[in-house]
This record gives sequence, C-alpha cells and structure tokens, in this order.
Amino acid sequence: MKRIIVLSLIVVSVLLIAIVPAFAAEKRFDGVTLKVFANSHDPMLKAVKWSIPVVKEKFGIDILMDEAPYGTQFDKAMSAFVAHTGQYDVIVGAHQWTGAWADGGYVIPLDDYIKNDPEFDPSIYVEKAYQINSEWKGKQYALPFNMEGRLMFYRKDIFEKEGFKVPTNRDEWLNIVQSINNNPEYKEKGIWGAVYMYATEQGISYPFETYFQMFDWNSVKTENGFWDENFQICIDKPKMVEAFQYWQDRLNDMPPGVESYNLPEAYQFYLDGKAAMTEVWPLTLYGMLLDPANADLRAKTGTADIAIGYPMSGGWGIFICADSKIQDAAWEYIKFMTNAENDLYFFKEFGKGPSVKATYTDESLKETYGDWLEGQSEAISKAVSYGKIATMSEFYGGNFAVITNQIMTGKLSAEEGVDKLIEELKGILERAGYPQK
Amino acid sequence: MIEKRLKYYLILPALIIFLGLAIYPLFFALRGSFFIWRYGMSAQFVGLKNYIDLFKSSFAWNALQNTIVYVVLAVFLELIIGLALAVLMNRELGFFRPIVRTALTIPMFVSPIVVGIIWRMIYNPHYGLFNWILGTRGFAPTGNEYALFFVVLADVWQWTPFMYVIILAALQSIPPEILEAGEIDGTTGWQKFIHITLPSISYAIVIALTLRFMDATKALDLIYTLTYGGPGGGTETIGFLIFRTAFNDLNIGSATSFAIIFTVVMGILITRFLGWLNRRFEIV
Amino acid sequence: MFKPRKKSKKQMVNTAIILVIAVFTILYLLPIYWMGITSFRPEAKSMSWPPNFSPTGLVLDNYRVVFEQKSIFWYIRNSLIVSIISVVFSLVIGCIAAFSFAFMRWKAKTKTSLLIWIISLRIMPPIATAIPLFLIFAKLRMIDTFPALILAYTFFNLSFVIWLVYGFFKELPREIVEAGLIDGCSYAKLFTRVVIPLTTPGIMTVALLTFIASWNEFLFAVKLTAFNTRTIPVLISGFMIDRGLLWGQVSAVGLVSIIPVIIVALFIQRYIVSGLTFGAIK
Repeated sequence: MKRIIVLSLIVVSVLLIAIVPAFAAEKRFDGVTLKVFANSHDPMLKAVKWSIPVVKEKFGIDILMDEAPYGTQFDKAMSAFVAHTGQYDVIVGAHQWTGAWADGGYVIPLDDYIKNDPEFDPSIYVEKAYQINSEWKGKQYALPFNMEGRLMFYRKDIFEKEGFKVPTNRDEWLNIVQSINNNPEYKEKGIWGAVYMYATEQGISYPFETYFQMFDWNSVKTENGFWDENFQICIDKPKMVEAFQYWQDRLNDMPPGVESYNLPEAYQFYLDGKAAMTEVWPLTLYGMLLDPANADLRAKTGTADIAIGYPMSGGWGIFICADSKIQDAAWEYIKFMTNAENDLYFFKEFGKGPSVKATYTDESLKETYGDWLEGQSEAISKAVSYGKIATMSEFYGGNFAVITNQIMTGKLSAEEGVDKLIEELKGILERAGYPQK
Repeated sequence: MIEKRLKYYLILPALIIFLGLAIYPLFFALRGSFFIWRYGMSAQFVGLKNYIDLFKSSFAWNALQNTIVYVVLAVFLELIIGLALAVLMNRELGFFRPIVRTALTIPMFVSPIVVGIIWRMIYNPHYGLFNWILGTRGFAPTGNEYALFFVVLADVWQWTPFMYVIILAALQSIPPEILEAGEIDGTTGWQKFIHITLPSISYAIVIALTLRFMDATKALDLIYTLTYGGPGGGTETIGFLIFRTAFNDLNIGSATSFAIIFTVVMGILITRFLGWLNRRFEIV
Repeated sequence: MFKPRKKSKKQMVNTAIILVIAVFTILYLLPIYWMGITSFRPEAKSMSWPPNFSPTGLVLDNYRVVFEQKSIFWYIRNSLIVSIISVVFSLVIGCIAAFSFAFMRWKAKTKTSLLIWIISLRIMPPIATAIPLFLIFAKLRMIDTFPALILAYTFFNLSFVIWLVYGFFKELPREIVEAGLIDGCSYAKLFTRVVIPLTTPGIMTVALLTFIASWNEFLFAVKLTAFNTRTIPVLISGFMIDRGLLWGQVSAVGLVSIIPVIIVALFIQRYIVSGLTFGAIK
C-alpha cells in the first residue's frame, strides 16, 4: 500500500515536472515584467488592475503598476522620459500629451506593429477615437483606450414640471438657468440652474472650453479656435472678449463657491440634486449614477447634447515607451487592453469610455445603457479637441490656464486678460516649434 | 594631534550629505537657470533672461505679494493667539495644563497634505463645518478674492499650538523673584506684563517667529490640496508658483531661477538674522 | 446650618479660565474629530447638513476599501521603511557631527558660521533641490528605490538633528566630560559610554520628530517614487484630484496616516519645546 502511494506520488511529480514547463512554454512572454504607468482615473485604473492576473495567465507577463492622477501624471512621465530612467514600458495617457511625447521621441509610433500584425484590425475602433487618441503627424502613437464626448446632464423631473425644453442654444440655456435660480421654490430647496467646474486642478475652467463653441463653427478652420492649420494664432479677439464677458456675468448665475470647485466637487453638487443642469465628462458621472444609492437621481437624469455648439472630446490612449526593452510584449498588452471584448467588459464593469464601435451597438447593453450610449456616440461624432502640440500641457495647466481662470473669476478684465492670453499662447506655440509671424 | 583632524572627520559625513544633496543640486539648478530649459526640449543658453523675465512676470509679483500676506498674517495671528493662550494658561491648573498641551499639539504633527484635505471639507460651502459654525449656508471661503485669508486660517489652526507651547515654556522659566520684585514696586498687571514678562520671553518669541517664518515662506503642501493656488491664482505663493512652473509648465529654467533667487535672498536674510541673534543671545 | 464654601477670587478666575480653554480645545480638535467620524460613515452619508457629530451609525466600509482595494498596508510599509531608516541615518551622522561641535576644540568663529550655515540649509525650498535631485538620481539609476528617498530625507532632517543634538550635548555638565577624558577614555568611549546614555531621552525626541517629518513629506515622495516605494502622502494627494469626492475614504486614509503621528506626539511631550525650537529653548 505504502509503496503504491510513494510510486504514484513519484509518477505524479514526474508528470508535473514534465507538463508544467510544457504549458508554461506556450506562453510567449514568460518571465517578462511589464511596467505600466496607469492613470488614477477610476475606470481606467480598475481596468489596468483587472488586467494584472489576466495577462499573467494569458501571456505569462508580470505586470507592475504605477499610478498618478491627471494633475501629476504628465510631469512624472516627462521627467522619467527626459532622464531616460526606463521606468515605464507602457503608459496610459491623455491624447493631448501625444505631441510632447511623440516629438520628443519618448513613445514609439505603432505603424510597424499595425502593418505587420495580422491579428490587429484598426477598423474595429470608432474612427474618431482612433484618430484622436492618438494620431500625430500622420503616425499612430497609441491605441484608443478611453473615449468620451462632453454631454449635458439635466434633471428630467424639473424640466417636465416647469415645461422646459432641452436648450439648443445659449439664450435658451440661460433662460432656464435664470428661471430656476429665480424660482423661490427651488431657492428654498437650494437647487441651482447649473453647475460647472471653475478650479484649475484639472485644466482650464470648463465653461471657457465652450468659448470656441460660440463661434459659427464653419468659421473655425482647424481643430480649435486658437490656432489655424499652420499653427498661427487665429484668436478672434473681440469674439473672445465677448465670450469671456459672457462667462464673467454667468458667475452670478452659478451657485456660490463654484470658483473653488474641482471636477469631483462639481459632480458631487449635481449628485446631491442641487443643480438642474451640468456639463461634464459623462463617464465618471454615469459611474456615480450607477451606484444604488443614487438610483433615484439616475431615474430623473437625462442627457443631451451640450447646449452651445460642439462638445469637447476626451481621449485616452495606451502608449509604448521608447525606452522600453520589451516592446513586443508591450504591443501584445496594449492590443489586448483595447480589443473589442475587453472594451465591452471594461465599459460594463468599470464604466470606461468605449472606443470600439461594436460596444456602442451591443445588444446586451441596450437595456441599461441604451440612451447613454446613443448620446455618447453622437457626442463623439461631433466632438472637437484642442489639439496635441508638444506644449499642450502649458495650455492646460500652466500660466495660460491660470490667466484664463483669473478672467473667469473676474480677477482680470476680459480685455486685459485676452491680451495676456494671446501673448502667452504665442510662447506656447513657438515653444512647440511653430514660429509666429 | 589626532584631535585636530578628528573633529573634521567627524563632521565629514554630514558635510558630504549636505554637499551632495544640497549644494551640488543647487549648483545644478543655478546652471539650469541660465538656460531656456523645458523637459523635452534641448536646453538653450540665454544668460540672465530667465531672471529678467521673472521680474517682469505678473505671476511672480502676485506670488510674492501673496507670500508676504500669507506669512505676515499667519505668523502674526499665531503669535497673538498663542501668546494669549499661554498667558491664560500660565497659572496653577494642575493636571489640566498637560492635557490641553497634548491635545493642542496634535494638529502641528499632521501632514499639511491632510490638513489641506480636512480644511477643504471644512470650507465646503454646502456641508462644511465653517458654514455651520457661522450659521450660514452656501458661503465658499476659498471661492472668492479673500481665499488667501482662509488658507491662512488653516495655517493658523495648525501652527498656533507651536507658538503656544514655546511661549508657555518660556513663561514658566521666568524666575518668580523677578515677578515678585515687580509686585513690590507696585506695578499693575498690564505694566508688569509689558515691562517684565515680555522682555523675559522675548528670546523665545524671536526664535518661534524665526522658525515659523522659515517654514511659512515655503508653504506648498497645504495649498496643493486646499486650493491648488486658485481661484485665479489668488492663493499662489512662491513655493506653489515654483512647483507649478516646474511641474505643470515643465519650465525648469524659469522655475530654477525663481528657486535660486528665493534661496539666495532668504539665505542672506536668515544667516544675517541668525548671526545677529547669536551675538545677542549666544544661541550657538 | 448651611455654610457656603468660600472660594477665593483667584480660584474662580482659574475655573473660568479652565472652562474657556476647555471649550477652545474641544473646538480646536473638532476638525480632527469630524474627520474621524466621517471615516466611519457609509460613503452616501459621509456629508450631511447639519454636520453630524454623533458617534452613531458607524461602519467600517471605508476602512475595508482602503485596506483591501487601495492596499494601504503597502503604503504604510513603505512609509515606515523610509522614515525609520532615514531617522537612523540622520541620527548617527548628526550625533557624530554634533559631538565634534560640542566637545572638540573649534575656533569659535568657524563653529558659529558652520552651524549657522547648516541651519540656513533649511530655508532652501525643497523644490529647489527636487528637480536636480531627480535628475541626479535618474543618472544613478536610483529613481524609485528606497535609498534615493532615504538619502533625500536624511539630508533634510540632518540640519535639524545636528542643531538639536548639539544643544543637548552642550547642556551636559563639562566636568563629566572632562573627567571622562582625564580617565583616559577614548573619544569613542566617551561618545558611546558617557555622552549618548546621558542624552538618550533628548535624542529619542529628535528621533521621533524626524520620524514625523519624514512620514509627512510629500514633494520628494511624489517625485522620486513609482512602483516600489510610494508612501502615504502620495496616496492621499491622489484622492483630491481623481477619485471623486470620496470623503469617507479620504478621511479613513487621513486618519490612518495621523495615528502613528499622534502616538509619537504623546511620547515627546517632555522635550517638545526644545525639539520644536532646534534646541534653542529648553
């Protein structure tokens, strides 16, 4: 009896020794450690975290993850790139950083991989997503990971009760805001017409981003109203002054304290049922509305195109770093993270913005997310973005953003401020390599 | 003589650390400040341009102004409140005093990052304690042109105990004979305070002020989480501006030139001041 | 017969002051108490109007999230490694230097200017060194390693340690030291057998204060860490920007981060004044 046990143990262990490596050998990237720099934005972060055991299982790749919030990620990545620390292989980044990373040669163009990989099919992605996150100077630098188009959220119950129609232009929008603010009933409940983010932590004050939405769009030739196709400043000064004055006046229509609101605080204000309208990145708010605690509000919330002009697009891509020594594994990873199956899964589980066409029309999502996805799809198709020049970070987070914030909060007059902005923008464009005439 | 050399050997490790981690980086920064140097772009020698631009920059002047207001106001309020508390507590109170002292010292050991978050909660216009205490609702302390004062308030909350603890200790070390002598002379309470008590604790006050001054001018972490310099740059101090220039604008040249000026000016001020202090009180 | 207890005027004043100060102290700690309470509330109820101070309806949800999903233990571990080792380094190096200043024959002028120079290093805004240090550490391939962070912390604690410990050494009665030297003690023996044991309580205070400073440090932590060495302040700062307004979780992390500090603060009550003033005031 004892002998049989011993014998079978030996047999089993011999088998194991023989078989395990055989299985393991099937994985292409055994023993490879991929260092991923994720963004702390919850849906994307959760997706990357989810991938750690899955990728180990599937490809044999070990993943090490670092994360940073939007405010510090770009700088951290840049300092790592500049010093060539080689500390990241793969990086999840916002589309507006593409220029800086591509021009500096810190991320690699993916065109060779795309051409040579028979498995890879770029046509699965929403075209705009593929382009925006992130094509630069004719090359593809990232695969689209997270895609959003700015939407307006509004309270269906309030709109119904007051007989408001979804606003389609600036005047209608303002009418609604003011009639809610002036209504004693809502005043009593502390409900305001609209809420925006004004603080600079996540970039320029949101209402300002609608500045160029106030033009006749046909008059704006390229991707934004700040510079033309030759990267020459094309700010329409009187228009911009007017736009700023308009938004300075709107501060009176906003709840007290919005000057200090960062993005989460603006979300929270809406979630508390204190604003009839808001205009935000939709996915985070979707995610929050899905929380059972907010079920009531969710039923009352409608989404629509933003009232004024064109929505902003927000795109995130996954890049491969030039300093990486395991770019093949990195390619495998980013391909995996952005494939159709995972795109659907990440949206369903974590609320990541879909960048694959099929996700938007997926039957299984119709019931729960149908209206949102439709709105999103439309917003994305109309969406515009600021661009990807190498100095975009200054545009979003530097003096330019602070001056904008100073005008928005009334610290600077619009005329004076616009002059300063143009001066600042001149520097931004010149430093990106586009001399101004 | 071994001793002659030994004394140098003993401070050598410390000197190496200082030279390696402070002085060398400082020279590194000094060199960088003569370049247009941004991450991702090749550095370009421009001489003193960064410094000249700095003097022309409205942000720099704004930050300087904010820093002066911040430091003066914060340190002054901390001193007054701390002094008042210490004078009140300087009497026989039994076990009560150590309890209060222990309780009050907690805030100053909390990371400024956390203090910023706590105060962001307090200043929340809709749920915050601040509105609750004022009996209002919807007032946003950090959302208007007076935001800086409310940042100062957070700083005062954290650092008043520092003044209190130091001044109380100084008060208690005044020999009772001095005070009694004053009583015999028939001076009143207030006169006694001005002419006897204050001079006896002036040294402690000067030291406490100096240390607070040094730390407050560098304020960064608190602002980082409380206001991020906003609204409209209204709470941007020098420390925060350097941080933003370096890490948002990635304008290393400009940031380092600013840091160099700051370091040099403050360094001269403080060493001069400490030298004077040393001649007067023999602190070394 | 009822006889009212006589109270002197002084006692009444004392009582009044105790009352005032007690109320003041309670108000003073209200923010921290509030944060503590918030950390134990379910996220949906974390903020309410009027503020809810009653210690009822408390749950551990936030702590579950913080410990399981955000793996705060890992951050604590990193913070502990960095803080403790840098404290040990700066103490050893600092005590030796302070010993030299305190017990060896220096020219008064040299000593004074050296010491003032050392303290003036504290003025330097951390930003001024953070960028160059990053580039230097990057060249040495030391980014995201514990030694880099430990070195940086050792540096910024060192001036503080030298000053404080120098102050304690100076206070020792000269006779003891001189007696030791006459007895033929070597300097090493004097240092380890006489000076250190006599100043242990003071040195402990310095250790705890430097521990707190390292534990709370943010700027170097955010620049020099990545996968392996992120510390608690880095985790906390991330909450403000991207995670939405998870007041409950932020409060939980915040509270966890200040508990060690509070414990430490309780231990150093006795020496706190000389600790806080770089030994300038005893």
